[in-house]
Amino acid sequence: MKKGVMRPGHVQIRVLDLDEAVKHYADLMGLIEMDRDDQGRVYLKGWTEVDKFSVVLREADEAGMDFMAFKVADEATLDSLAQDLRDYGLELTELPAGDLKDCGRRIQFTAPTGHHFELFATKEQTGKWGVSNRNPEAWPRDAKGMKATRFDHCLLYGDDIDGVLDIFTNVLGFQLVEQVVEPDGNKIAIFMACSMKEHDIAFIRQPMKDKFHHASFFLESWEDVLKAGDLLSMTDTPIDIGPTRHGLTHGTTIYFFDPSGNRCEVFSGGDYTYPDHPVITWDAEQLGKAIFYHDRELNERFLTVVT
Amino acid sequence: MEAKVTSLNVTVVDKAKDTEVAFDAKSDQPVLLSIRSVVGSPIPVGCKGGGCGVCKVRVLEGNFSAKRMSKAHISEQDLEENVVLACRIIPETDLKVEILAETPEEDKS
Ligand code: FES
Ligand SMILES: [Fe+2]
Repeated sequence: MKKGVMRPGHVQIRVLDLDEAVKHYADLMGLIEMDRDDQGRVYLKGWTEVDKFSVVLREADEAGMDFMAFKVADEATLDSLAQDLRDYGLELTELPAGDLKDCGRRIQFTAPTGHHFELFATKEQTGKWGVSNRNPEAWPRDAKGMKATRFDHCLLYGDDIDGVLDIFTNVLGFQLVEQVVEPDGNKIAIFMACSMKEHDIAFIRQPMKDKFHHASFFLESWEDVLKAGDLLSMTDTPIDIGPTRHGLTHGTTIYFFDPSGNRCEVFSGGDYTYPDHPVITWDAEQLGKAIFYHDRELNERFLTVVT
Repeated sequence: MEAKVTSLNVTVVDKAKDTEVAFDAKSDQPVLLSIRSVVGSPIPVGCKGGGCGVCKVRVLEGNFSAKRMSKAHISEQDLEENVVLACRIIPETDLKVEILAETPEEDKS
C-alpha cells in the first residue's frame, strides 16, 4: 500500500577526484551541473527532472555511496513516515533544511544492510532544464553527451535484504516487483518500486555491508543506449557490460565505471507495474539470464566489483 | 614540457598459481590500463578507477607514482608496504608486482 513516497530524490556519491568526476557525470553522461556548496559538493541533475538536483558528488578518500534519498508527498507525510520508522525501532537522524543546498529537512536512517537512506519533502524546483513549462519544446538542444534524462534507481549489495524488504514494503509502502529466489525460498535479489516503474531501488544479497553496485539513469531509447556505448569508446571509459538487455525488468542497458570506480548505468525501456501486479519471480539457477538476458551468465565483475 | 612516453616492463608474480608473467606498460598511464584484454589478464581487472580493490598488488621492485586510491582498500600502512591498486599506479621504471587480490571479507570499510 502506498504511503506517500513518490520517487528517488537524490544520491550522494563519493569520488576520489572531483574534477574528473564532474567531467564524467556532466560532459560524458550529460547531467546538468546545477550548483556547488561551501563543502565543495557538486549538485547535478538530468534535464527532465523538475527538482533542482538529484546527484551530489562529494570528494572523499574512498569511493561508494553516502546515501540515497526518496522524496515524499509533503511535510506532513514526512512526519508520519518518520514516526512509523521510529515505531519500527529505527534510530533517525534529522538533518536541517539547507544541509543540502536548497533542500528541506531530511530524515535519515540506516537500513539493516548498512546503507543510509533519507526521506525529504521539499526541494527547490527549478523546473526541467532547458525547456519551459509553457508550450514546452521536445528537448533542450544543448544537452551534452549521453543526455541522461533522470536519476532512476540504485542497485545496492548487502547482507540482510529480508530486513530491508520488511522496512521498504511494510513501513515505506514500496511494492516488491521482482525477486530472485533460491529453491528453499531464500531471496537473493529484490527489486522494489514506490511508483509504476519496475524498480526504484534494488538489492542483491552478498555477505557485505553498505556496498554500492550502481546508480542508474534513464535514456529515451535503445538507440540512445547504443550511442552511450559509442561515447564510452570515444572517451576510452571502462565499460563493464553492454549494450545488452536485463532479464529482470527487461530494460536495455549498459554498465560502465566513473573515474573513481563507481559503476553507472544508463538504460531505456523496461516493464511497468501497477499495485495489483503479482510479484515476478526468477529462479536463482537462472540468475545469469535474469541479470544479462543475452549472455545468460554473469560476468565475473558483477558480483565482485562494488564500491 | 611533454614527458616522452616510454614502454616499461611489468612482471606479475602470482604466488597462488605459481606463475610469473610479463607485459609492456606505458609510462604515462596506470599499469592496469596497459592491459587491453580482461580475459586472461595477469592482474584481476575491476573498475579501473581505484574504487573496488580487485586489482590490489604489492610492488616488489621499481618506482611508481600513484593517483588517489580508495582507503576502503588501501590503508596508510598498505601504502608504506607498497601495497597499491594496479589501476592507480603509473610506472616510472620497470616494475615487479605480486598479486594480492582482495576477497570481499577483507574489505576494510
Ligand atoms: S580495478 Fe577497481 S580498484 Fe583497480
Ligand atoms: Fe540498474
